[in-house]
Amino acid sequence: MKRILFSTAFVCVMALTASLLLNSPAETNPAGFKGVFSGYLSSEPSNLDPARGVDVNEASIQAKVFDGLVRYDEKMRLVGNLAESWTVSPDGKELVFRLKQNVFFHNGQVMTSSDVIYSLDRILDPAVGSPRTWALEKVEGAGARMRGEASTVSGITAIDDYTVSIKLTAAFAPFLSLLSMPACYILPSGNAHEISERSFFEKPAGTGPFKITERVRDSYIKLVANSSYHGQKPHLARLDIRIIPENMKAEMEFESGNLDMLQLYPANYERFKSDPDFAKRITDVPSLNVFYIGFNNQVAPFDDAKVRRALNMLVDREKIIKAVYQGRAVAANGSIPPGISGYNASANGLEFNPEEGRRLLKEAGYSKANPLNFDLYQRSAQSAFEITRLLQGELKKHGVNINLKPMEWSALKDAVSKGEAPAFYMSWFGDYPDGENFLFPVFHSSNWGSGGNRARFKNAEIDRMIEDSVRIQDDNMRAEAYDRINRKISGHAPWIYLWHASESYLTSEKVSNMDFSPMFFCDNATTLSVKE
Amino acid sequence: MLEFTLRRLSATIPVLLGILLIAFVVLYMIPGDPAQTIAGPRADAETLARIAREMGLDQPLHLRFSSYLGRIFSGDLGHSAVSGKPVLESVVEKLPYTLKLAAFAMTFSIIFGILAGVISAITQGRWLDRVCTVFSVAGISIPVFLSGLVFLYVFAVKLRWFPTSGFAADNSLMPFILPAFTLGIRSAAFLARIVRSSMIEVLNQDFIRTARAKGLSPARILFRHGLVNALIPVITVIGLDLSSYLNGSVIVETIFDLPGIGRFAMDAILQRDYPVIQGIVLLGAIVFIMVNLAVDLLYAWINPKIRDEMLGKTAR
Repeated sequence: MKRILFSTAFVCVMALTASLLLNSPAETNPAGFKGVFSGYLSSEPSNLDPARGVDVNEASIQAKVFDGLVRYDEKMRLVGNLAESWTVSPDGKELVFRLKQNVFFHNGQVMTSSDVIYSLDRILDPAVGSPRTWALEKVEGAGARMRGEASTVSGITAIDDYTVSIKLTAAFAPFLSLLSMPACYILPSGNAHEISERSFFEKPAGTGPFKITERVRDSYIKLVANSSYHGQKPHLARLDIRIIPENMKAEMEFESGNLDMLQLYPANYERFKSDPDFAKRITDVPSLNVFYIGFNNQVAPFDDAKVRRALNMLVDREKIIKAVYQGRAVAANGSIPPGISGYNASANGLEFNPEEGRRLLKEAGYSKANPLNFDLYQRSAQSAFEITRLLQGELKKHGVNINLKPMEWSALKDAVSKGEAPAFYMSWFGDYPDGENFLFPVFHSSNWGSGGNRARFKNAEIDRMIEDSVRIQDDNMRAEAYDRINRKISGHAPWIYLWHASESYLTSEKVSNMDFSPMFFCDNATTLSVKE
Repeated sequence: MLEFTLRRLSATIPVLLGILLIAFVVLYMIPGDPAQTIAGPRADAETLARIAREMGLDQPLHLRFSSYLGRIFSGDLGHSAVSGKPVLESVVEKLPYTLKLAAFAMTFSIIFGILAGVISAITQGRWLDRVCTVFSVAGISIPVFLSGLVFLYVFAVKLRWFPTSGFAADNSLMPFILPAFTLGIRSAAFLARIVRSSMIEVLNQDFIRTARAKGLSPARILFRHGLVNALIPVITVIGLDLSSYLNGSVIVETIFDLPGIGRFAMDAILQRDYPVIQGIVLLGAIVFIMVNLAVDLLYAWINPKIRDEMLGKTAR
């Protein structure tokens, strides 16, 4: 008996010893700033290195800690950030940025041209292995740098301590938009060693409006206002960001008053919307995305445009939007979402038209006796099933049989990239707010498979039109060109264009002036206020 | 005892190697390209090939496995393919949360499980036994994600007796109570069932009748003669539960925001972060083997007959 008791006591002692292994951090609030915003992310931002980040949660923290040369403001206008001004040469091939002076990194280092050159060159440095090299691939000398044939990129040079020149191999009008991306945020070159060791990114020091003071991976990140911020200073003293992967848990935390913001999903939207107290604090934000059923355009039956067009016409998008999104989505008539250059709300000829759809299917050789059957690859998540089961039911009425193939996300991406999935339910979220981002990566033949063109769509004329459009410097003319391309691609129906969905957020009563940007990295939380 | 310990210890090495090999092959076989997770949605074939090369994924399986073993023996678990952080450092960072949760849950389940089992056994067939049975069957059948969310809603959100998050930066124990309760309830219920049946069996044996005939007090018969003999199967169950707790509980850690090993492992699997997955498998295997070894040694210590049987010595 004593021995048993001893064993039990040993386990209890282990508990107490383990508890002593945890540290106790301290909290600080900078003077002159008021209020603490309690937010959350659905997953740990594993990588706060701008050059290596690919995730929305990573970008949301990076946007508060770092700055780029330019940024999109709360009205989605491109404005200077670390650059106070810039000029573009008449041929569109050289951009010269005049940097702000007296800008300091959180560790006290002053920001100059050398930091800009270091940070941008780093993206192309083969030793870094950045997944965002495409952001700068049109810079002169980028190819040689990426292949390791040059020690720096020749096209980015310092004219003086506060002037940087970037030369492109060809005019590329969306380039400024790409420079606003988190990948192009500026790091302190004085910390090159820690940056290359990656230890710098545990609590990185940028020039942004907030500094990271505490971080426990998978638990929380605390940021305090940067009192010497060069731009519009934040109102808030602190941002406490917790990592809460479970939606239901986040909901409970919000209702307990522990969170100031809650992202709503179709599953809980109706409940909050029907309560007048919550309803007035819900904001629907049209996000830059497109949801679609992609076809592998190279394999039967989807190598036949008639089949692809027919399936577009057999889907009643409005009905599904109403049922699943409670109306918080816009039916897509192309890949470009509302709110950016190239969007056009008018019809594209693929609208819900079951008679025409059935006629086209018949023309393509399908009938009741010989029905169209196909596998639809999708993520094995409830949110995906809600859509695909409805689609399955809708198409069944017209004699089309869909066999759902749910897969874990990594496996799905792999199958789609390799062209193994004949049809797949996916979405594309914009990396930067320019129509080109919804055309070139997803439909240009150079991006087949993992590059973004998952539908394996190939059309030389479209390729050329896309290449020509990005050389147009005039924004309006470029938008018209994007619209023409968008319509031309819709004519080939490489996807079933579904919708552009909004995201919905509920805020606590204490919160005001939250910047609900359609782009995940545009909000640097400087406008946000929280009553104490 | 030393011979027994050494013999058991030497048997762990092939088991460990076997586990590592199986984990390695399974990782190799599952679909999903780790390079794609790192490269993001706009990765060209060249970038994917470069990342695969850097991670050594272009090498044949046997070469990868042998270089992996070589690194392990030199104490290097590698770096996370996603964050670049040393795997060992991350594991050391997260282990205290898992250890603390495991120890609290285990303490809870041992105390309540044994108590409920003993009460059930001595009140066999009466209402108290039925109540304990209902609770233990419910404890075994209700899934942890459901009980966790219900406890969270009732005790943290509505009654506000406990914080909603299990994480405590200040070493306080309060936030751990609810997660430990959630995690331990299943094992407590299971223990209660085992203790009950084991106790009933022991209490019906001849030596208990003899003890009663000798006029020993009921308490002495119950604890000194009954419980001690009923606890042998219980230790096996405790050992198995402890191993699984020490390997992290994804659901409890997720519901209660605990940055432990379970969540770390889950994220690594979803991101196909091979070095992290392999590091956690290694840790898990070591924990499992060590706890099993401890249980075996404990058996041998409590009951020398078992040791002799395991060493092949015949009973006197």
